[in-house]
Amino acid sequence: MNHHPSPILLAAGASTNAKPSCANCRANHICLRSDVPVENYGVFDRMVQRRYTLLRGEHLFQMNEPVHDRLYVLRSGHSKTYHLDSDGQQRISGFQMSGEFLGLDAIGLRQQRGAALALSDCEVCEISHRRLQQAADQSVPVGAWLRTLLSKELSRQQNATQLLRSGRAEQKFAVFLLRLSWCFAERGGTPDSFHLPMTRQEIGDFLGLTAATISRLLLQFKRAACVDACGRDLVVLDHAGLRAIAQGGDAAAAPAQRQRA
Amino acid sequence: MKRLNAARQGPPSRRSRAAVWRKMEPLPPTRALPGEHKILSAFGCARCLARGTCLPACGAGAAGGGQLVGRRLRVARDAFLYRSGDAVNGLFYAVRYGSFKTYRADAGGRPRLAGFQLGTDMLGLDAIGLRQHSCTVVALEDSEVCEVASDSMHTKHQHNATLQRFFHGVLSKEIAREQYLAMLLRNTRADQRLAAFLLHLSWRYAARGYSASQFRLAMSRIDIADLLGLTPESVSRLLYRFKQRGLIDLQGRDISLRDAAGLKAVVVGEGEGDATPPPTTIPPPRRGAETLPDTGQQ
Repeated sequence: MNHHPSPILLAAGASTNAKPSCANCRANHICLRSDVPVENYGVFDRMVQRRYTLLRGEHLFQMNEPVHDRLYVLRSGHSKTYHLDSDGQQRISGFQMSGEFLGLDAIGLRQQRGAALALSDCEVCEISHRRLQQAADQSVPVGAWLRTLLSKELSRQQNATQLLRSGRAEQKFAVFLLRLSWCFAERGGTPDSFHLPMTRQEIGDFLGLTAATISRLLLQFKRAACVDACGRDLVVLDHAGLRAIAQGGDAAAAPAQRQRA
Repeated sequence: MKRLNAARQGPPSRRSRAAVWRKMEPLPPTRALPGEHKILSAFGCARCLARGTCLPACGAGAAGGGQLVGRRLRVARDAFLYRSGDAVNGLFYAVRYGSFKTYRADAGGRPRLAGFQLGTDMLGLDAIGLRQHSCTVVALEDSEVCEVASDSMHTKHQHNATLQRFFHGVLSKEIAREQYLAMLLRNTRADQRLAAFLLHLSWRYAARGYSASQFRLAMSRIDIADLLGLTPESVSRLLYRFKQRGLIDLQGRDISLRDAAGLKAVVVGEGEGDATPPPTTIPPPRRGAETLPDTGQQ
């Protein structure tokens, strides 16, 4: 098995001897954001029941599994969430990177709505929702942090839904690549070259396209000199060109986009 | 507002809709939010008919419920509650009665329909902790909303812990609903989407104490088409087809679900597509292109 460790995993220094805590986490600026001052990291450390490593291909949780009042955060690595439809087929509902939460859609429920699977070796923080809730009851900033977290997740999900409505296949795929590149940059990687943690089939499922379309689009983007791809390694050569495709090549739409950003 | 009226009444052709989009594109950020609406005195949650399903439903009690909401705003049909770029001011809104539609910018920066909100739904949940709204919310009919300060979950409120938990549940459910909607838009046929939409709407009305089988569609066919990534033509045609098959009864916007089990079978993908070809293969829908089997040709 030719497994490429993701740059994130290497960057996270998975083999450091220090006891893992929020203070020495490479993704704390994404998970805790700047709202939380460093001296309050201890509050969040106490919410973490355990930290463990999940190997590629292992499930974090299965569909309809008891929730046990748990939330999860990826400390490093990549995962995907999916639902099984009535035919037992996998339907991808999202991809997660370090610093992102899983299980936010099942708060207060007994059973998980979907399943989560590690796409690369992951370090996971398991959080007790009860303890998080208690901390939010007692402290105003933690309450505000939790509300914002849920609100952001909702907004992210709405954007993912909007991506499915908007236009042509190449637009969707270009937006997907731009968002991915932005996510890698946010985590201290380079926005120009990264390793795709997911297969073409998974990307296709997520965008409502087929794997063949994804391969064809990748070739099309290569010809347009927007990206270069070798296996799952991807280099973004022309961000502006990719953005132009994402906006549907509609020149009139570009100023509106800039204004909003 | 006149533009939107024109959009509602105009012929549901693709060209006219494109024209409407072009007109709607510049949504200038405005700050004159409350001035547009009639502001009513705060209305104790204890007397509100929606208290069973809205925020006070967590049992925070009549005593605290009154302090939870700020002003009540009456929003006329087709008026904006807020637009993208408006200041959030730490507020979100609970729909007291009426219904709304939400627009969100897509990758190209064009506003696109993102959802419908009915009575006791919350608006602006995606903007908690932000300074500016990224969505635009338009009333589908004359409606009333209550302003809620998102930090009121903490201060002043006696039973804030219960309320806060209830509110987190609301947010979590909203995330799950959005995931469901996304699921509906991936690799499903047009008839599956529309049947699921109707069932979901019926379920939402039932949860609010209305009839599950008979209701009036607050939204136009164009709006439904935008939400589901279809063309208005296919929505109209599918509604007609459902009617012919005896699944629904339709008169204008008054709809009655006659065979919910049959609609569920359509969602699962049974019984359809055998006798008649899938509806999406007849016209080449621009928006619904993702439902077409991909032939690998550009």
